[in-house]
Amino acid sequence: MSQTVTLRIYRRDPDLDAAPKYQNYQIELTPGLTVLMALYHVLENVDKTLAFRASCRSAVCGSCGMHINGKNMLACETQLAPLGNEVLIEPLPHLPVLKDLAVDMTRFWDKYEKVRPYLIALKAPPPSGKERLQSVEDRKKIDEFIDCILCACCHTSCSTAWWDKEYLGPAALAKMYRFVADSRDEGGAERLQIAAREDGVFRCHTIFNCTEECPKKIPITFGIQEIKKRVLWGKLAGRM
Amino acid sequence: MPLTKHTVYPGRGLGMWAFWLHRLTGLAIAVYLLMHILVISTVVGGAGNFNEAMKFLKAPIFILLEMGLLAIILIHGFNGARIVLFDLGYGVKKQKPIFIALMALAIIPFVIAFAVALPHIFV
Amino acid sequence: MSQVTPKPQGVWAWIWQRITAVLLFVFLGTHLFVLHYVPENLSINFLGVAARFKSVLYVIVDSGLLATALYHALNGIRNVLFDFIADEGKRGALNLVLWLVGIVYLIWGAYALTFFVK
Repeated sequence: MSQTVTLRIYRRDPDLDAAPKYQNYQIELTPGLTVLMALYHVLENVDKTLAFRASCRSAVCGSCGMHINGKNMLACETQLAPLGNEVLIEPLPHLPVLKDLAVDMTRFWDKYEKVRPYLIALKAPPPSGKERLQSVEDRKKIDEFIDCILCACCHTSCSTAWWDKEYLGPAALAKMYRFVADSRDEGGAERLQIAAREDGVFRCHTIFNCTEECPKKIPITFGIQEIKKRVLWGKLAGRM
Repeated sequence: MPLTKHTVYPGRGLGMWAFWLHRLTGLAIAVYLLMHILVISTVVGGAGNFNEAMKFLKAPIFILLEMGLLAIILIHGFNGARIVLFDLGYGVKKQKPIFIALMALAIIPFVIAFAVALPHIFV
Repeated sequence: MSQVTPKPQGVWAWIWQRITAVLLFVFLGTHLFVLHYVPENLSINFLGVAARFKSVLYVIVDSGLLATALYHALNGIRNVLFDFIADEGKRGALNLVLWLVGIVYLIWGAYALTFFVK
């Protein structure tokens, strides 16, 4: 006896539709079926006009972040069966909808760029000419934050980021912490100056939505608080 | 281009509720503070009007409202302690149990205050 | 390269919000205890208030409460509104309005608090 699940999918083509509509698709539940596999099934067999982003199917590329049953998650690593008989699938909240489940990530990337998401190394490379080494302990400090796949699940769950369009947001700040806490990075002061502006790290109101939604279980708020602490003591000590 | 709108993130978070509680209680207290300063400062105008006003404000309904105000202040204050704790770098990874513990703790002063106020509410 | 102009004015407001928060525990705690749990203060009337405001220590506590509570409340309102207002000009205007409200309230409150101190 096979079981069917109703996918209730947000549909909108901004060029044609004034308001979004929700379209239902019946799908047969098979063992191990993920939300992404179900979406592909709809695309290939039922409705060729459905738009969504996906690539690796293994929670590494960060393309398939979606709002599923009221939570941001990766479609590819989410099993369909435990989600109930009707599954609501919407695009990531508060980003412009390009079509259906695909959103415009421009704002997300703009902020990402602002924190200088690359190693700033001023010292000459080691004489060996090979990589800059790091102790095991130092590597541990950034272990969790290196896991970020830039899926925007955190950023689009942060209400401050919805309201304040200038706020750097959790993803960019987590990336900043990943470099600030990296023993090889020398851009710390420069980065902290960016965090110290009005729309920087201090607009975080410790709501913890980002940490809750992160598919990689990165303690994002912890990283943001660490940046706050560094800016705070930098200010109080007159270093900034 | 259209956005999908959500005003409250339904998500998985107790943190969101803590945040909204903190905001709304904070705004309520701010409004009360600005009123309170104006009302009490009328004392410079002499005994007559001030005593009238204070007698009016001693009605049971206002004592009951004051209990509500106390609850609001306790929620804001105890959650405020949680926020300051996070800002000093403590307990960030234990935010949910800390919120529950602090709200439970806030009940104690409220119950004591309510017990003290009870005879003034039901006279 | 540098597409960000650092505007660090938010940091000190944030720091002061925390400092006043901690001070409020002391000032508001004292204020509430003195007014509601010291038997002779239970009935609030003109003579009682006038007598209390003659005590320099009490006026100091209440003045501290006035200043910290005003800062904390108005900066709190600012924090909420700045989430929704991105425009620099509007933000500046809001800052100005809040500072004006704060200063007027502070002066008026301080005048009332020290009215009975001889």
